[in-house]
Amino acid sequence: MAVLDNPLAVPALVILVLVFAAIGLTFIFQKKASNSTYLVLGPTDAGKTALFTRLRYNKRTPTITSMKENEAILELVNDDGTPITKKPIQLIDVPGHERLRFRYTDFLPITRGVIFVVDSTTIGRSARSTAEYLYDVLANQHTSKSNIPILVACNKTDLFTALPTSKIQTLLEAEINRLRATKSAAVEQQESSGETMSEYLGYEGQDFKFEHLENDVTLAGCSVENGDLKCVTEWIADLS
Amino acid sequence: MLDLCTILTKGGYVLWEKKYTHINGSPVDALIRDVLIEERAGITSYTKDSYALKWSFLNEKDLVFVIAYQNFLQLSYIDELLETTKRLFANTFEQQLAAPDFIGSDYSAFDPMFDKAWKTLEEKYAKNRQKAPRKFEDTKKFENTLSASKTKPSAKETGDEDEIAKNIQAMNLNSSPRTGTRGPAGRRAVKSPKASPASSPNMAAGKKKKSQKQMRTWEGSIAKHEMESLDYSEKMDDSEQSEAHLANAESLVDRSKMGSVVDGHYEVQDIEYEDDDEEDIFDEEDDSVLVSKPAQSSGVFGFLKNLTGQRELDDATLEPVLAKMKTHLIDKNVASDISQHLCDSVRSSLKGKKLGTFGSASTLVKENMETALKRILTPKTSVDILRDIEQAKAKSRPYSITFIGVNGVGKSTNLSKVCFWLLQNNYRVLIAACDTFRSGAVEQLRVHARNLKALQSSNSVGEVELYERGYGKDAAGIAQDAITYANSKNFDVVLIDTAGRMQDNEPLMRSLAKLVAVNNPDKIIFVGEALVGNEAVDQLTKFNQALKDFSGLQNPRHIDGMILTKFDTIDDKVGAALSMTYTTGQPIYFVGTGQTYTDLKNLRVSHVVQSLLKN
Repeated sequence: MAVLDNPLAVPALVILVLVFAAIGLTFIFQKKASNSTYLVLGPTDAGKTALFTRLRYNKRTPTITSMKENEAILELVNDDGTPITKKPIQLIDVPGHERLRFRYTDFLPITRGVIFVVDSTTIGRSARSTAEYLYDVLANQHTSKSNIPILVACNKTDLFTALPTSKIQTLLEAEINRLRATKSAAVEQQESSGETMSEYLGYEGQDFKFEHLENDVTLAGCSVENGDLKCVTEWIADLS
Repeated sequence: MLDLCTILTKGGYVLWEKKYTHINGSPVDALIRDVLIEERAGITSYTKDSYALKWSFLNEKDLVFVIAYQNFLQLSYIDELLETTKRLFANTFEQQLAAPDFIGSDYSAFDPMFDKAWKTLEEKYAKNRQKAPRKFEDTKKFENTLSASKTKPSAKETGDEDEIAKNIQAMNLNSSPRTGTRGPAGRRAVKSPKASPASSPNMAAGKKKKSQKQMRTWEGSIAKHEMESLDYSEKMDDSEQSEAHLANAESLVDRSKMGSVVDGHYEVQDIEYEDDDEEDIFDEEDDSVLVSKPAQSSGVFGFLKNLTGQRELDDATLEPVLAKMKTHLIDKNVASDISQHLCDSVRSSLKGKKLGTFGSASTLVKENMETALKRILTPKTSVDILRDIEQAKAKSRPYSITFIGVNGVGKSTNLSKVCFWLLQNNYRVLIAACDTFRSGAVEQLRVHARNLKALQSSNSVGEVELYERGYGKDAAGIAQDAITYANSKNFDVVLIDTAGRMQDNEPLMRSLAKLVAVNNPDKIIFVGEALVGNEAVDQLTKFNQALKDFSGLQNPRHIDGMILTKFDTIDDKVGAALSMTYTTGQPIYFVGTGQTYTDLKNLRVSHVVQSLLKN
């Protein structure tokens, strides 16, 4: 009891406890904060960087093929200026070029949601390459393990040639259905010790549908050009 | 005469852009896709359609400056204009660029400045063209001002920021004659010591008057006499005189906040970490460094600079590290040209970058090299052959793959491995024996076909057949017959085995080009040994060239991908994988890792990158 007799003992203990609590809390918050990351993925020329600038600076800037990721921590607000998320979110725009997109896998472990931007006007021709990218994202073990929700944002709806969202969904599903067969039959990777890096999507023996997946896949039309990003902001608001 | 000048971030924003005419297509996009992303930034210019493009990096802020002009124009001032633009932009928007999200700022005010800079430069070159025909070569030295030009925005001279900014603005906008205002030029000369030779190094002293005249409007260029007046290295003992010369400059430059010159590059003083007393000591040291010994930094100051971690990567720091990296890559069996290109590319993307407190140049180079290697090895087209076959099947035509390569690399062996894999996936495969040259080639395939048939389980749909027409016949004809046969018999895939040939054997290369031109196979796969070093580049370029030159087609074919064989024999010397992908820009479809039919694997990019960088 000699220790407790010291008049400084109690305050010292309290401070100690508080310090530990503070450290613990910051740790927890950090973990939570890291999961407020949203990735902007998609093939080149879909409008990822434009979407990013729209959300970040609320203006339309001319863009060009990205060579590097763009990152920002931002607060999304309603029209009346009230924030729609409790805390600021981190937005990362990953270049869509085939050679550069591999970087997205580094971010997946801390991702809260993926915004997959596709170009509604060219999807008819580029369905295969787009679906291949989407397949890679969906089949990534992080995506399926932590059920990362995915918003397929069909951009450029302002254009006359844009396909309707339902049509895009059919195209992508049909394409992924085919890819599922070929990808699982591919030659195994060198130095892989049996474990599979990617998951089988959907149900075996049935045509692939987005609803078969455990994680939410939502399709919505948007237009960065017109600033029509309601679907994106609402989707983010729902998640956080 | 220019078509387009644009300033972009590596993230893909166009910060500022000026178009002088209508631009057909998007040459800048093409530049990024064909050159910058492919790690070919070692080259200095790029032509797309009718445009010639030149570019320059401001790595500290991840900016890229691009100028496009008509290809047929011989514009000698583009390099200098790029550097000037860079410097001007960095100076003018110093405050905006210092902010973390500088993208949101407005840079439209740059329009008149650029126009003025361009005009001045154009006039200067128009004049100089008659006097000094070798001028263009000199401008290449502007490369070296890269780091110097970027010291400016990092200057954290909080106290005098406004004053300096104002002065710079005045200089930029005010085109009044600047004879006598040696002050600002003095600052500039100190900042970019290597910029000076470009302006007029080989001009005779007697022409001073003229050079004075020509440089009056442009603040970035420094005339010879101004340089001389600033070169105190020989009159160092006479400090009084230098004081007098510098007197004008004092209004612009706060001596106490001056940086130092290390290895010929002006380094901005670090953010004020030291006490005031210390600063005075460094001040004197500082000045002496500035004027007398530009080649080395003073001990204490350099030490402190290292501590505060504001070091900037320049050529001198990068050179030894990159040289080491180059030898390392060559040791890993990467072709020497390619390691040189890669190192150049990494250098251009690193020069001017700030080094963190605990960062070392070698880690930074290694990190950068890793990304570069990953980029190169990552396929840019789909490598999903099965999906391609499905597509061909949907059109009810056979999918044809031609295997080409030099002698003895394993074309037939790997063809049979691919065949085995296709059979596993229930495809009907026809093997066309188009090696009508080497004795035993057909028999070899026959044995493979027999083996593969035996390996097929009875209930499998897959089926293999050999299409042979003996020796000495025309390979192109046999391939054509095989494809027709496959079409009629509903085969899904035709694998065409060709004779091995050395890349220098023109008659054989011609016959290969003919085979390709006649049959137009879906995929032309080059089979190469993982053992080759420098030879890989030669083989691929010559095969590609032959396909192009001898085909007689409007749109000649090229190699679509590679199979890297004997991969199990090379341990971590995987350089050939890099050499091949870099040379062709095409993916490696498979690697052969052994003798059995199942020893066909997909290349794992991360594995190759690790092996390449491993010590």
